[in-house]
Amino acid sequence: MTSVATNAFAWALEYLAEWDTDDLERRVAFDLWAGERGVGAASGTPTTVGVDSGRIAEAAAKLASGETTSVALVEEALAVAADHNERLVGFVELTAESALADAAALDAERAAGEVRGPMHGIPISVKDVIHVAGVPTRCGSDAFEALPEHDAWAVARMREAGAVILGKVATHEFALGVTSPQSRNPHDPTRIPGGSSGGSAVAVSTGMGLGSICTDTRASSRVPAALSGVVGMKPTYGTVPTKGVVPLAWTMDHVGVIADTVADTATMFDILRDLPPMAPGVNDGVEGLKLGLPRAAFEDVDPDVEAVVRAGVERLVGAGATTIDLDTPGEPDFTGANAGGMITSRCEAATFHKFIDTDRSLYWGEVRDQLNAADEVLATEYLQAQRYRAWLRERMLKVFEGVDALVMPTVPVLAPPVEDADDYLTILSRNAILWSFVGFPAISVPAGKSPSGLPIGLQVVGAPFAERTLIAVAAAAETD
Amino acid sequence: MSNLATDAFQNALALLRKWRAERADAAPAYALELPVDRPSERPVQPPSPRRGAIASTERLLDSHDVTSEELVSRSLRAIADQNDELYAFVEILEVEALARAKKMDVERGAGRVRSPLHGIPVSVKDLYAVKGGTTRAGSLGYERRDDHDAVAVKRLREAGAVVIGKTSTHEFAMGVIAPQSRNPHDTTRISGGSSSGAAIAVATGMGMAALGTDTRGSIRIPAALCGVVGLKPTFGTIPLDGVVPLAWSMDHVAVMAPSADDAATVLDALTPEKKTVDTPVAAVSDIRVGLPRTAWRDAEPAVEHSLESVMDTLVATGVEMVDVQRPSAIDFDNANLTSMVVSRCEAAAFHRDLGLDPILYTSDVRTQLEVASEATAQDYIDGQRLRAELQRDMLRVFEDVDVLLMPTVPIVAPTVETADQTPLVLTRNVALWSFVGFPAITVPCEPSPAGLPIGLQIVAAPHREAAILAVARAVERGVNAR
Repeated sequence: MTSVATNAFAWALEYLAEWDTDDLERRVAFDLWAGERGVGAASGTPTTVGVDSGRIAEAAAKLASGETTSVALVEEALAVAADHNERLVGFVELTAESALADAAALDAERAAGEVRGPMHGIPISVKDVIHVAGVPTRCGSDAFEALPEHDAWAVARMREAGAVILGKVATHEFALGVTSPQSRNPHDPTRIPGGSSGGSAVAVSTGMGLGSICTDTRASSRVPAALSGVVGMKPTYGTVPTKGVVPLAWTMDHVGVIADTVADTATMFDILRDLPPMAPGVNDGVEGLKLGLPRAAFEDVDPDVEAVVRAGVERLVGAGATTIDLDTPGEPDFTGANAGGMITSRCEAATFHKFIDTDRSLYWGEVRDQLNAADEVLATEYLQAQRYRAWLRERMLKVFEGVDALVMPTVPVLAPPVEDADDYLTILSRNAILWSFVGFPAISVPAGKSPSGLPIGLQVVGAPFAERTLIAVAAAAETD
Repeated sequence: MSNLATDAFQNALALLRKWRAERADAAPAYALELPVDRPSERPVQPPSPRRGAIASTERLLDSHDVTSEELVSRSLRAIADQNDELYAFVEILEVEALARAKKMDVERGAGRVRSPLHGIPVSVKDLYAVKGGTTRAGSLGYERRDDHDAVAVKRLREAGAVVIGKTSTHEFAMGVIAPQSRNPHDTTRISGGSSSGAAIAVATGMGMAALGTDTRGSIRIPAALCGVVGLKPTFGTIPLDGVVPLAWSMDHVAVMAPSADDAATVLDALTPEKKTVDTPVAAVSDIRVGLPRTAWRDAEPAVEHSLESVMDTLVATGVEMVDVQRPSAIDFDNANLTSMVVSRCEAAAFHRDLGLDPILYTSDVRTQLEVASEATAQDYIDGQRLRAELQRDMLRVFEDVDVLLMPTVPIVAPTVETADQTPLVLTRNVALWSFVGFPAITVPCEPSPAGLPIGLQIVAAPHREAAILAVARAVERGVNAR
């Protein structure tokens, strides 16, 4: 039985088979990661500075002045969940009791004069592929349940920083998709919020918490952020340890963040990484920055989406940036990355899934089809994808010799209706997957809405380790 | 036609498909990284003055008792005398080498000595690009015109070495038999491979050092069988640019030389930012040595005997030796077989792109590539996950000892007729270390009563080349004293 998934796989294999390496001795991508991976990550204490703007900073100011308490913030989040969660499916596991207890303890700390940093007492959610100690991890699947003893690395960092974990939010099954069809778009509940971090986007967008730790392997922080009107970002590959994250693909998984504003997102990332902080970039401005606009990323794009993103570009120009239209990355690069990324991630996923003692008949049809197709892929085909990836990465590094950042629509279309979700397997991630495949940092910011009120996201992409520049551009482009 | 290749591969796949990672989320080796260099916490002593053939030759060059041109001529004569019989060189760069040697002599005369390798003749395996030449990789069908030196070759030239020619290799480095070459100590036997020519060259004075490669033992096996030193550094130490790949994630630039000091000199030239041999190291008597007894499984009596003498000598100088449980027989066997799957899958990807007519390959190599072309992505990824676990486990071994000693190869050089049966035996003690990427050296010990060379392998944790070189030197002193 063929399906969208199986067809996509067959297409991807064929596409890569036809790719001709320019250099017969083109190496695989593996050694590109060596030496860069883990740079600064988990090496000690984070250098967190926080910023003055954004909802987290607002809340922190109110906590500092006594205008509110962490317990009150948690209660607000719970109230929103009570009203909207059943309909929109943000949370799959709300740990209200422990959240309130943690919040109370953190309020007491603050009263005693101990403030850990900008996240002290701030409630956040965690995508349900990331372990939270003592809370079941289900990965959105009927076939899987783990009860972790330990927090994932990223969760532990957040707790150390004083964040309050509200609970686990919905994910496309095993993160293996970009639609999250069990959740609903808060701006129009007949439509999907996007995925795989659909629950994160729903939660942040409606006020169930002030941020969410999620993942991004092909597009999974940026697509739901774009479709649901919030910010979603994935950092440079390898800069945040993935310990305690149920793997999708070891060479493509990133810990991501979804939050209301660029400032919030940057603040959270600075806690997760030990590299120089990116949050100050919010106030850097874009004067003199050169922004590349890949023509291919604007082709076959919904006219409302294009209009809003172009307006965002105008905002950036008005703030002092210059733009240049680019032929590279071109359509073959986006398409090739889609093919290579699908093969790479699904082969690695299938290897993991082989051993986790699950009943695959309980998986969603589309997810099962992908894994079954991956079982058949040959080693030489997987390796071909890695060689392609190495070539593509070098190509993209050259692009950044001429520009400081790239700007483009995050998603080429508006949020599709729930019943059509399956048809959008590859369309939604079209502009996004290239960046996860080569490991460059990328962020989606709300740039405006369609006349029908559907959110539209603008994606900014940076060079590896240039997160501060990325934040500067993103902050200048985002709308309220 | 040999079915050994197919059988070996199928066995390897079967083993891998039965294997289960300890943790379901165990990542493949390429998603992790080897630990970076950390400074030694143990007491150290300054490095001893350089010995070895290259160092003595440098002194003669300095005192003008010999010229680089003469050294090159001697090498060329040795090649003329023995190459037809032994098949060490596939290409001799006579004109270029003599011209370059003259230039090195002129530089020395003007007071410019680039490094301890200045004016020294060396050979490079015919996988390496040499500017202006052609690389054939031991293949009938492959021909690469080289307009740049490989990075390793460039570094040797910059150090003043003189490249005298390209040496023979098992076809595409995909084997350890090198059936066309012969052992200089007994021409009814193989030299071993895949860096066959490099070993023969160094053993017979066709140059004073050689560049080879090592992916599953290809520098250490021929070095052991031919009675010279073979050094494989930590994975990734020297860039592979310009080297025809066998397996991107397992290939190492490696060195063949007459002694440990000579190997160290060449390694220094290959790693200009980091002088290995000058790294202070603990006194040999402070080095803790581990012996994985399983490595002596089915060893020939001559090999056992020769190694025992060496070990007795080391113990007499105060070295402490302990038996270690890991690596176990399963570790060695897992690595032997799984490294075959991983490397042949990568080779198959390369060769698929190369698009050579299959008929141009020897049947053994063609079969290897055919079976590897049928392995699944999951086989490959699992092979890399098994590798990650082995890396982790072997790192733990080196928390309790500084080096491991074992026979490089459990047998002496097989005869040409029986060699086909032996590839897995030859790689058994060596494949593990290339698979996990740890540095390893083979040093000649007392040969067998029939005069066949026997090698001792010394292995250390990543970036601990100084430790293996220190022990290697002590072994040489012990052997030379007899």
